[in-house]
Parts: sequence; C-alpha cells; structure tokens
Amino acid sequence: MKSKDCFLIAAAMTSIASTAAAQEEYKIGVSAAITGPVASTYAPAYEGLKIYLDRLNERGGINGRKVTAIYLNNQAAPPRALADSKRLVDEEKVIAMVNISTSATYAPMIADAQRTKTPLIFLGSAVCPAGVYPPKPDPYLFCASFNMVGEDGKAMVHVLNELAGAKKAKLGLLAMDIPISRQGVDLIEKLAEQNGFQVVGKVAVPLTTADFTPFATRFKEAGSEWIAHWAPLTVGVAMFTSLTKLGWNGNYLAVASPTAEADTVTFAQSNFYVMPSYSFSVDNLPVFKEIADAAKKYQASYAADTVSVGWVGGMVIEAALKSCGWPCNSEKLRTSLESVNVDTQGLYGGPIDWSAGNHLRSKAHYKLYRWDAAQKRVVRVKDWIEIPVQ
Amino acid sequence: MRASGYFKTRYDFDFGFWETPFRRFWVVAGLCGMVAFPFSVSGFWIGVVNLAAIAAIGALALNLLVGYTGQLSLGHAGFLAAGAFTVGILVGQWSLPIWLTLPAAIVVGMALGVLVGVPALRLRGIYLSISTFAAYFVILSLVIEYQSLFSGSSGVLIPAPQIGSWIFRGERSWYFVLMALVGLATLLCLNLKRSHIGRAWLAIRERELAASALGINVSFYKVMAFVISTAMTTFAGALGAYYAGFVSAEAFTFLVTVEYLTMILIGGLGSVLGALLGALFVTVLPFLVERAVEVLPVPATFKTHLFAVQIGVFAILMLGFLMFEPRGLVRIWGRIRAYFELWPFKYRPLQ
Amino acid sequence: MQLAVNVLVLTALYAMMAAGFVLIYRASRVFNLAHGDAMMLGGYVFFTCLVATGGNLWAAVPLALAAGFMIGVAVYIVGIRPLAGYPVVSIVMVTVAIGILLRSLATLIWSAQVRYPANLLPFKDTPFHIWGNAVISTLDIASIAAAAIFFIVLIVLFQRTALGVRMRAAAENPRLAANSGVNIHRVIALSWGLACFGATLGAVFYTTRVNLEPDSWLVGLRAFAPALIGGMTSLLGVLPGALIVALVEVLAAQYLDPIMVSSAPFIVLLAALWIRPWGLFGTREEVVRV
Repeated sequence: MKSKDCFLIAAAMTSIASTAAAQEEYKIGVSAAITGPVASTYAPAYEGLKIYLDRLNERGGINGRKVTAIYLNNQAAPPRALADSKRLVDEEKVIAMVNISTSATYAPMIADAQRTKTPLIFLGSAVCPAGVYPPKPDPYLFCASFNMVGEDGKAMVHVLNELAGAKKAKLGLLAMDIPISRQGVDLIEKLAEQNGFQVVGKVAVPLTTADFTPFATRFKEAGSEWIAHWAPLTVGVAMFTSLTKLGWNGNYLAVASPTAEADTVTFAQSNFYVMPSYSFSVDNLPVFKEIADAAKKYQASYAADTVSVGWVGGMVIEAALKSCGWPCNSEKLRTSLESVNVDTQGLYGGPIDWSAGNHLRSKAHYKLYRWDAAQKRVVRVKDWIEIPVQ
Repeated sequence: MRASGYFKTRYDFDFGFWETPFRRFWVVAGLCGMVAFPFSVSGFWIGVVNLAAIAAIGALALNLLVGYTGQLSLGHAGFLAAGAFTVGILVGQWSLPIWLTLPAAIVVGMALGVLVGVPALRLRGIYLSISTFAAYFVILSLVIEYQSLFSGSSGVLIPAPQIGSWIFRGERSWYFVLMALVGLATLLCLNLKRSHIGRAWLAIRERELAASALGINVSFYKVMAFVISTAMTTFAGALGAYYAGFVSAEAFTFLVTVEYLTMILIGGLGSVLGALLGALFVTVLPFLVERAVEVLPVPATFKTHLFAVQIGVFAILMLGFLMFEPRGLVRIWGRIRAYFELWPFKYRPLQ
Repeated sequence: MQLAVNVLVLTALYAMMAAGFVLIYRASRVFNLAHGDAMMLGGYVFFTCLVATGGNLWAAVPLALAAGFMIGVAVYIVGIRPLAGYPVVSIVMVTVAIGILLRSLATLIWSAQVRYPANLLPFKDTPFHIWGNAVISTLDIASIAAAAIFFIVLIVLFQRTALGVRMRAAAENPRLAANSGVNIHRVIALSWGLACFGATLGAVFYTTRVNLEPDSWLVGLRAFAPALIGGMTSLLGVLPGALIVALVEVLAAQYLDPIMVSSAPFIVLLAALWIRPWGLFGTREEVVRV
C-alpha cells in the first residue's frame, strides 16, 4: 500500500515536472528572407535578432525561462511565407510571429495572425505596413523596424529642403520595378512637388537590368542635381556607380539599408548621403560594443555594424515577454505588447513606445550621414524629429 | 492487357473506369482513404495536400499541352498569374462573388490560349518555347504594373470565398472541394485522351506532317490544346488565389514554371496519373527536405540556406529522373504493379 | 551621343553573353537555359580569384576564364552527353536542372550576400570625356575591346583553323562528321567550354559594372534575345542581334515609362519570332522539324 502510494506520488510529480519543464519557455516564430534576391536587406536584421536572443538565453532567459525562436526562411517569396506562417501557428503554436522580409510576404502572415489571434511583429528592415499606424491600428500587428514609407518620404523631402531647398533643385527619383518601391517613389514625388521641387526624372529599374548606365544617362541628360531613391540599396549602389562613371557631380540621397554604412565607406564620395532612421556605428554608442561582442560570440555571418536593427527587435521582444510574465499566451502577449516602451540606447532616435492606439511609435527620427574627406563619417543633421501620422 | 487476376470480358471494359471487380474495389478503397485522410492527420499536412491538389490541376493542364500534344511551353507561371490576377482585379475592384470570378478566369485563359496559340502555329520546338517564355515576361510586366499602380504594395488581399451565406474557409473544407475539382479535372483529361481530340493530339506529337497528311487539321487541334490547357491553368491560378487569400506578382517566378515542368517530367510525360503523382511529389519535397535537414547531421550552412538545399535536391532529383527513369514515376509504379500482377511469373507472356 | 556610347557598351556585354547560346545551339541543338547560371558561377569564381590574389587582374581574369571553360566542359560531360538522342524536352529540362544545381551550389558556398567585385579592382573606373558631350569609362572601353577580341578570335577559329572546320562539321551533321573521323564528343565539349568561357567573360564585365549575387543568372538569361534575333545558328548574327536589343533597351530607358522598359525587349523578341523565327542570319531549315 505504502509503496503503491509512493509510486503514485512519484509518478504524478514526474509527470508534472516533465510537462512543466517542457513548457517552461517562450516560443516565438520568425519568418525572414535569409536568402533570395534582396536577402542582404533583411538577413542582417534576422541575425541581429538571433544573436540577441542567443545572448539572452545564455544569461538565463527571462526570469529563468528561455526564449525559443523558430527561424524559417521564406526567401522573400509569398508562397513560402504562407507555408511558414501556417506551420508556426498551426503546428508549432507560437505565441508571437516575427516577419523580417519583403512586403510581398505580409499578406499570408497577416491573414494567419488575424485568424489565430497571434501577434505579428515586423522587425529589422521590413517596411511597416499600414495596419500599425494610429489612430486605429490592427490589434495584432506591430512594427519596430526602421523602414516607414510615409515617414521616410517626408524626412527625405525635409532633408532636401534643407540642403537644396533654396535653389529648388531639379530632382531625380529612382525606384526598383517592384510595387512597393514604385509606390514609395510616387509618394516622394508628390511631397517633393508640393515643396516646390521640380522632378525631372522618375525611373523604375527592372529587376534584371544588365546595365544601369542608360538609366543614369537619363538622369544626367535631364539635368538632375539631386537624385533620391527609395529602393533596396543594391539598386542605389549600382546607380550611383554608373552616375559617377558618367562624371555626374550632383548629390545622391539614399534611404538606409543594413549595408548602408559599409557602402558609404566603400564609395568614399562626399556627394553620397544616407538617411537612416537608426544610428551608424561611427557614433560610437556603448551598445555597439555589446552588439560586436555578441556577433563574434554567436558567429554572425554579417558584419557587426549591419545587425543593429535586429538587435532592437530583440530588445522589444524581451521587454514584451518580461511584462507578459508567466504563463504567457498570445492574447496576454498582445496586451503586454501594447504597453511596451523600450529605450533603444541610441540605436533609434527615440523609444519604441507602443500603445493601444499606436503600434508603430509616436515619433520617427532620422539622421543624415555622408562621407567626409577628412577620413571619417560625419553626422550632419542629428536626431531630427518627424511625427508619424496616418 | 494484364496477366493474372484481372480479366476484361467485354469490349466496354477497355473504355470504362470501373467495370471489373478488381478496379471497383480499389476505387472504393481509394475514395475511403481520401475521405478518411483529413481526419487522421494534422492541419499542416492537409494544407500540403491542398497545395498539391491545386498544383495537380495546373500539372494536368501542362501535361495536356507538353506531354500529350508535344508543344513545349515555358510560360506556365504567366498563365497562373493571369488567373490569379483576374480574381484579384475582379474581387479587389468590384468585389465580385466567386461564382462569377472563376468562370471569368476560365474565359481569360481561353483568350490567352488563342493569343499565344495562334502565333505559335508558325513555330516549332525551341522557337515555340521561347515565344511562350517571352509571353510569360510580358504577362508578368503587366501584372507588376497593375500591382504597382492599383493595389497595396503587398498585393491584393482576397477574402474567403462566399457562396450564398456559407463562408468557405478551413483546410478540411478546402480539401474536399479541391479533391472533387481534381477528380473532375482528371476525368476531363482522361476523356479527352480517349476521344478523337486526344488521338489527334497524339498524332501531332509524334509526326506532325504525317498527321496533316492523314487529314487532321493540325492548326485547329494545336490551338485547341493551347486553349484548353491555358483555361485549366488560369482556373488553377484563380483557385490558388482564393486558397492563399492574396495575390502577388512576386509569387510567379520562372521557378514556378520549372516546378510544373518537373512535375510532369518526374511523373511521366503524357500520363494523367503521372501528372498527379508528380504534383504530389514536387509539392511535398521541400517539406521533406526541411525535416531531413533538421534531423540529419549537415553543415550549418544547410540550415541557414535551406532554400538552396531544397532547390539543390530538387535539381538532383530532376536530373536523376531525366537520366535514369525518363518515363517517370508512372513507370516505376507500373513496374511495381506488374511485379504483383505477374507473380509468380516474371515476364508477360508474348502476344 | 552618350546614347550611342551606351548602346555600344551594352551591345558588347550582350554579345559576349549571347555567343554562348549560339555556340551551344550549333553544337547540341539545345537551348541552354543554364547559361545564366554559368555566367553567375563564373562571376563568383572571378570574385574569389580577386579576393585570393588581392586584386591582381592579370591572375584573376585568366583563372576565372579557365574555370568557366572547365565548367562548360563538365556540364557537357555530366549532363548532356549521357542524354544524346533523347527528346529535346528532356535535354532542355536537364539544362534547367543543372542551372538550378549550380545556383544552389553558389548560394551554399558563397551565401546570398551581394558582392561588389568593382571594389576589389586595382584601379578606379575613370570617365573620359569624348566628343559630343559623351562620357566613356575605362571599364566601358575594356568591355568593348574584350568583346571585339573575343569575336575576332572565334571567327578566326571557325573560319581558318582545322579545329574550327571540325567544329562546324560536327555542328552541321554529327553523324557524317563522326564517320569522317572527327571526335565529335571532344569537339562538342570544346564548344560548351567556349560558350561558358564567353559567359564568364561577360560576367567579369557585368559584375564589375553592377554587382554579383546568386540571382544574377536572370541577367545572363536575358542574353538569349540577341542570340535569337540574330539567328541561333549564326555566330555573326549575334552582333546585329545584340545591337538591336541594346538599342531598344537604351531607347526605352531614356524615353519610355517603366512598364515598357522591362517588357520592350521581349515584345521585340516576340515580333522577331513572328516575322522571322529563324533570325536574321539563321538557317531556315531549323524551324521545321519533321
């Protein structure tokens, strides 16, 4: 009798212990464009998130519980994103999904997030979708990435006004022949014309161009003094190379991408301006040392200065999970995401502050960099405020 | 002509599907298996089979054109895109219901079939495939243009189809509808094969000049092959749009065409069963590779570049089938079946 | 005037890449859909050679070209030769499969990161101002020169040397050539090697001008249009074919809206196919197969 009772109690305790141990972790799913044509825009952010979570887990996780992330590669292809999101919510039953990929992959993930009531967070360089903007954001969509179409456009026009507004320079606009880039450029065109600029050329480069020189010629012949692009940075780099080769000496304004800093150093041309909404490593913030250490320790394959935007994503996820507590399910996590207020330690211009009415942030900040011939990177216009509105 | 255990005693049996008890048994068993399947596996695998079903309709269509009529078409992804975007435009702009958009997709497909098929009459072989390849690019430019100008940047979102008051969603519901549709498509293909149209196509594939000399109107049957094939393809594309819930131009890369061609090649060129088997095989393969990479000891780059591994395995299998089993899975299936039918004999009796 | 320079440079690029299509079509009567991937792989080898030799062009370029040649021969021996006599569909699909395999290997070895070989070059691409307000740069001149030399060598090879005559014989009538003592396998392998050599040459200039990534194969595939318009069996036809396509693209880029820019070359291609499917200089009998 006694041994039977002991046995029963032991069995009960083992089963409780094993189930508890099996569930003592936060499970999130990440679908990112690790490979594919525009991977260099998204893969560094994915690595930043990964090394942050690896470091977090090694330090014991959140109150002793690890964060398990399932990383899936959607190769920037919508059908794979569809398969990924189904797998994450139906099979793995994650409490949150993360998307670090092109906007083409949003639709399936958004559909599944809404269907299973799982929060979906856009990180890194993923363009923030319309559903996160105030005043009435979609309850399940959140965005901590640095890429915002409307705000990028407004910021670019603001910068152009400051640097070239007095003369109302002739402006050329460059897009890649993918829908989101063309829509971004259309928006910038409208804003620029409202501000009195004369848009002399608007070019959408096909995906598989053999030579950028004809397009560069078009800009040059139209007399563009400033050229701005809203496209993956590879397009901007190729275009700038062609323009330089043609002997064009206007100014080029590029929107940021994780490799922007390295590219500006490589070009070493003082007429190449970059406008990221996050800080470059030349600003020597203490957080960059942390990132570099983690990158080395967890073997990131991209350079340490390109992964910082993913790092911010890790900060946000840690803060949300911490405030969610234990046990945490997707509904609870959603509520705690809405109260996230993360100090980005200088990586972004301000905090990521989410609320029930705003899943993006209250203000977007941009810095302007260009190469200074005195052998270093100069911060031109610092931490400059733009308010995201609908 | 079969050996032990399967005898046809009437001429009608040559054309029928289930006259003999042997066949009847297996058809019923297959149906029972198909019905039981969604209740015995997780939603994820039902989803995979659903994807395979939609791919099967596209593969059957391509098989008609490439396998049976011998016209190599490299523009398949373009027709799928056309079907998907027909749905996208009709639903996105005017919110038309499904019972209007699907027929519209079929009509668009037929029109495209004529547009591509008539000029193709002048071309043979390589030049025909190149013209379909160019047609693919043109269609793709058009849909990218539409998406850039008129829709949200992530494509057009399609709400779940609604017939009357019944909203249609969920893997199980889709499974049964798709299985029914695949069954209908298979019946259509099989009937076409057995009819005078199918025989004309076969003749065109083998020796076009001889077929023409026999009195077959080659141009008419060729265009008909294009029309029927593209209509089925656009239908498959439209179904895919409803199933996925969105339409996006980036989903229709050249690799999609290659996948469909591989489906019919691996399955067996010209065979209806081959198209079905090939569609299932090619759809399930990436998921199997994913599981394999998780389980087997592989270098770390395989895990981070899973896509490269998936297409690498895909390519190796394609090469393997092309070199060692050009008649595809159907031939392998035929060999297995022959083994069991002929046992204990090894070879068919000489006729 | 600048437009003329642009057209010339683009023609040179397309000509180098398209020559391979024609060479392979003449040798094996197959449309090599793996050409773009061969170009991409050649570009990666070039990049690796540049990195390994620290920017030494005199070492990197020959090494890359030799590797390109080997890749072509290897593709023939592994993929095409075993399928001699099979229907065209199968062989085209084999080329597609090999292309995918090459791309998969490239991604696994070099990752999907975008590379810029231009940054490793020992010289800067300086613009020269020539008459009429036009600008041409060092790389532009180099690509035109390379294409010209490549074509001259090829034409001399085919017209004047015994080896060239053997290659033409094997291309025109393999059985008769084999019966006459030509080692057709060796000769066809040589054609494939030369084709990929040309692709790698094109890759050297493309990657230094734009960038290098696994999806660069799409650019190589665009080069089939010049080959087709000029005639799939005519090497000389590649030049006018490349000129036409380059002209259309440059004019479209300069004057047209985005929608026309990406589809203009293909509309021209479709028109050419309809009006004159065998190309400007191709042999007529290639169209009808009985």
